Amino acid sequence: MGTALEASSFHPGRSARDHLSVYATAARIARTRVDIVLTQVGLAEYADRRVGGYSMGMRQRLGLAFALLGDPGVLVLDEPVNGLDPEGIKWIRSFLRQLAAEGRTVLISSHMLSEVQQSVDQVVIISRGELVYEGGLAALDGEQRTIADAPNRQALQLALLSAGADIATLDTGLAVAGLTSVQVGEIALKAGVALSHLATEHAGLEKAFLDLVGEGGKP
Amino acid sequence: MSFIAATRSEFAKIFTTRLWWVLLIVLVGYVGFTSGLLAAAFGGFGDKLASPGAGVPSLPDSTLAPVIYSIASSIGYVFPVLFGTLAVTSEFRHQTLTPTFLAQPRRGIVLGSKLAALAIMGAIYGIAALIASVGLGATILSATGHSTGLDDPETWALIARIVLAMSLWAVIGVGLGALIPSQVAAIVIVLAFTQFIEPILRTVASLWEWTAGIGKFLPGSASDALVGASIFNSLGAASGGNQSLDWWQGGLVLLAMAVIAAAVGYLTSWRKDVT
Repeated sequence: MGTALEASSFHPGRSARDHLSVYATAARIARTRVDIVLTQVGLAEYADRRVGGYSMGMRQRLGLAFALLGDPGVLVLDEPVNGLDPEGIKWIRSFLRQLAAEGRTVLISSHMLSEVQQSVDQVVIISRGELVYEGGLAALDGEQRTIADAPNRQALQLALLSAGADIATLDTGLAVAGLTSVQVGEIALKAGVALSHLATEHAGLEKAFLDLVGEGGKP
Repeated sequence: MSFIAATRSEFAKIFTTRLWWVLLIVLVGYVGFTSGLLAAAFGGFGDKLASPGAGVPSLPDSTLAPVIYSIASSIGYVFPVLFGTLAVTSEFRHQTLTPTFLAQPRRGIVLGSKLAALAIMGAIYGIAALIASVGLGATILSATGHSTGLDDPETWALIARIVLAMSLWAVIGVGLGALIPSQVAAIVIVLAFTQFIEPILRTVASLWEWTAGIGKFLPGSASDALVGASIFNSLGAASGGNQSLDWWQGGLVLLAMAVIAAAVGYLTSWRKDVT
C-alpha cells in the first residue's frame, strides 16, 4: 500500500532524489524505483534540487512519487489536488486515472466536491466517524427539478398549482419538483401561458452531500 | 535485515543534508583554536612567564599534553549532543517521521537504528576533533620543546576514550531529542545546560566536600572522568575539593543517561500518533 498524506513531510534541505532514496533504503526497495517514480510524476528534471525550493505542485508530485515507491496495489492519497494549478489538477486527474487503469485501487480523500465529481468512480461519505453513503456518483447527483418562468408568472403558478405541482418561488422563476421540463411545458401550453424560461436543474453533489452530512457538520 | 536497512537509511538522512559538515567544521575550528591557544599559552609563553615565579599557572609535561588533547571532548562534546538532538527533532519539525514510520513501521527499530548511526557519527566527530586538538597541540608542544606524549600508550588510550565519550554524547543527544521534540526548546536547553548551567554547578559543587560527591555525577564531570583528563579538572584541582569518578564509572554514567533519555523519549513522544 502506498500513501501520500501530507504535502509537507520533507526535509527542505534534501533533494527529491535523496528524499526518496532515504525511504527506499529503509523499506528495502530497489534504488532503481527512485528514478522510475520520479520520471512517472514528471520530477526527473528537478530531482537534484532541494525540496525547500519546490512549489506546492512539485511537493504534491513528490508526495505521489513517495506513495508509488513500493509499486503498490492500493494508493491512499489525502487531498492530492490541494494547492495545484489548473494544469496540475488536470495532470493529476489523468495520472490517477491511468494508475487505476493499471488495476490499482486509488483511494482519494478530499473536501473538494467538484474535484471529486470529475475524477472518481465510487464515493464513500463519512460523517462524524459514521458511514453515511456508499455507491456511485450518479445516484447522489440524481435529484433534479425544473425551473420555469413566464412574463406572467402568476398565471404560470396557477396553472402548475392546479396541475398539482410542488412549487417553490425563486428570484429567477418557479422551481418545480417532481415534474420534468416536458411536463411543465405541456401544462403551460394547456393553460396558454407563454414561457420565458424552462430548464432542468440538478440539485448537485454539494446539496446531496449536505443533506447526508447535515449543515451543522463540523468543517 | 531491517535493522541494517534502517541504519543505512539513517546514514542516508545524515549525509543528504548539510548539518553534519557544518557542525563538523565548527567543531574542528573551535577545538583546534582552543587547543592551539592552550598549547601556546602553557607550552610556549607559560615557561617564560612562569620562570620568574609568581601566580601564573603552569602544568607539568605529564598532564599538559592530555589536557590539551582532551579539549576535543571537554569543550567539543556539545557538538555530538547537538547533532544527535537535531537528528531527532528535525524529524518532528519537518514531519518526516510519517514517511519514516511508513517505511519502517516498527518504531523501536527506527529509534535503535538512529542511536546506532549517531553513535558512529559521534565517534567520527571525536576523531575529527582529535585531529584538530592533537594535530595542533602536538605540533605546538614539540615546537616549544615539550613532550607530546604520543610515544606513550597511555596517551593513545586517552585518545580512544575521547572517541568513546564523543560517541556516547551523540547517543545522549538522540535520547534528548526524543525527550524534547521541539527543536528550538531542545537546542536552547542543550546549549544553556552545557555552556552555562553545568559549568556553574561544577564550580559550585567543587567548593564543599559533600557537594563534590554529587557534582562528580554531572554529565560533563562524568565525561571528563571517562576521558581521564580535562582542562576543568586540571584548573579546578588547584582550588581543591575536586572529586572524580573512575573512567569506567564515568562511561557508565554517560551510558545510563543515554539509555534513560532514549527509553523515556521512546515511551513518550516516539509512540505518539504522527500525521
